[in-house]
Amino acid sequence: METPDLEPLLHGEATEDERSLLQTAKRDAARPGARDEMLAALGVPVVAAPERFAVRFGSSGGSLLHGVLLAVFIGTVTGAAVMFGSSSESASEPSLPSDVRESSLRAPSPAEGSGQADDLASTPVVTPDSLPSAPAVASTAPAKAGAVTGSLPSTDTLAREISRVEAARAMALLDAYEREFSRGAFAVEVSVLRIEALAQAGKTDEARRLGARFLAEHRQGAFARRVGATLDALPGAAPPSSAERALRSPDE
Amino acid sequence: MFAAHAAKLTTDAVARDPALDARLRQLAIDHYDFVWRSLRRLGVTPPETDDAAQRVFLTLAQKLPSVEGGKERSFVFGIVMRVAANVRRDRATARLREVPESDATSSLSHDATAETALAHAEERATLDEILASIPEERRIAFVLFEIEELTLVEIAEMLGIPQGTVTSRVRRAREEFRAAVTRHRARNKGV
Repeated sequence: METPDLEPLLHGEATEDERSLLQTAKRDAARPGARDEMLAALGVPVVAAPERFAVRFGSSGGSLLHGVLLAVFIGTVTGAAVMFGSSSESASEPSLPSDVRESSLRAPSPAEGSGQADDLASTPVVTPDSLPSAPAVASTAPAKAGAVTGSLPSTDTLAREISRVEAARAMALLDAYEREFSRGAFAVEVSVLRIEALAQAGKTDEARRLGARFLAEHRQGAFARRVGATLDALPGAAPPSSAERALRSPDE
Repeated sequence: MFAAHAAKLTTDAVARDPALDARLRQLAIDHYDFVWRSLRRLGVTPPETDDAAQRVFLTLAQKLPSVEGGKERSFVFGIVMRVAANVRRDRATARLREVPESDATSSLSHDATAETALAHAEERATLDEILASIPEERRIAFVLFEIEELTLVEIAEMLGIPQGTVTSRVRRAREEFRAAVTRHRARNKGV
């Protein structure tokens, strides 16, 4: 039983001055990310397990594609677990080779290690080893993957698929970060992670292009060494010249 | 600072019940923006607004087990009103201005020109001043109806008062608002 003649001033009889003043309040809005910060401060996981992918992938505009990728990822991981059986811990671990791997983008969870779904649902967190500024090391993943494929040839394809799906997911997360924090403090770190994710996904041309641009802007330091190591590991990459190595690493 | 103690207090209060965490998360998703806007319009200016919003949800977390399903929004707004009143009282005690300089930049669009930004900031400060001059009960009804654009029925349910009371508060607050706008313009024109 609403009074029929009472409607908000902005929809009715407001004067120009009144309208102008009231409109200023219409711009009131919390900062992007303020809600998540508040939840984090209260110790509440920002996104529930089943929602996480919907939020991350749904907001990226490619929900169908990402949904398919997610399904493939879960399917392949589950398949790997079945194939390798209970004794496959050492074999399945190397099938997730990357600096931009799932474990580097998740928060510690009480249920860690108890299930794939729980792992996937954890809140993103960057571990020290996954930081772009971590020392560049020769990737051990290919050797480990080789060990897996040595015993089970069919897992080579599986490992590559998992690696690529992971990389796609990492890029989706990086896209989401850049959308939310276009001028974020971790822009350089994100660039490095993106190059590594592209390399892992097999998008070598794009990885080379972004890597070259990055190295042109950041000629030395830990980030440059890390990007350099990523580019050097790409298939068909020319070995870096001594000058390049020296430039990236002042110690040499 | 308040935020520094939030996690511990929450841990003690909620005892990390996953079901309560999930409920609190959902309430934050549903109502955080509304809480923030309401605090802002009830006189809690940035940078205090974020802190006050967190205080609202901390209180909510502590009382969540007793909050009846379907009445969360009303409960949340009740906390908002109390927190806003406390912040204003604390500020008055500290003799701070209600619209600090920092608000001028924090509420502006990044791509606004300097002149536009300044004009918006001045108008927002004027609105704050006018809203602050309206008595609390009527200010709340005015903000919810005129700015948040809730219906009279929704406001009555949220505040737990008859719709007729809401209507009369809105009407009276509107008169006060219009009179204040007229006074402000007259003062600016040197009349």
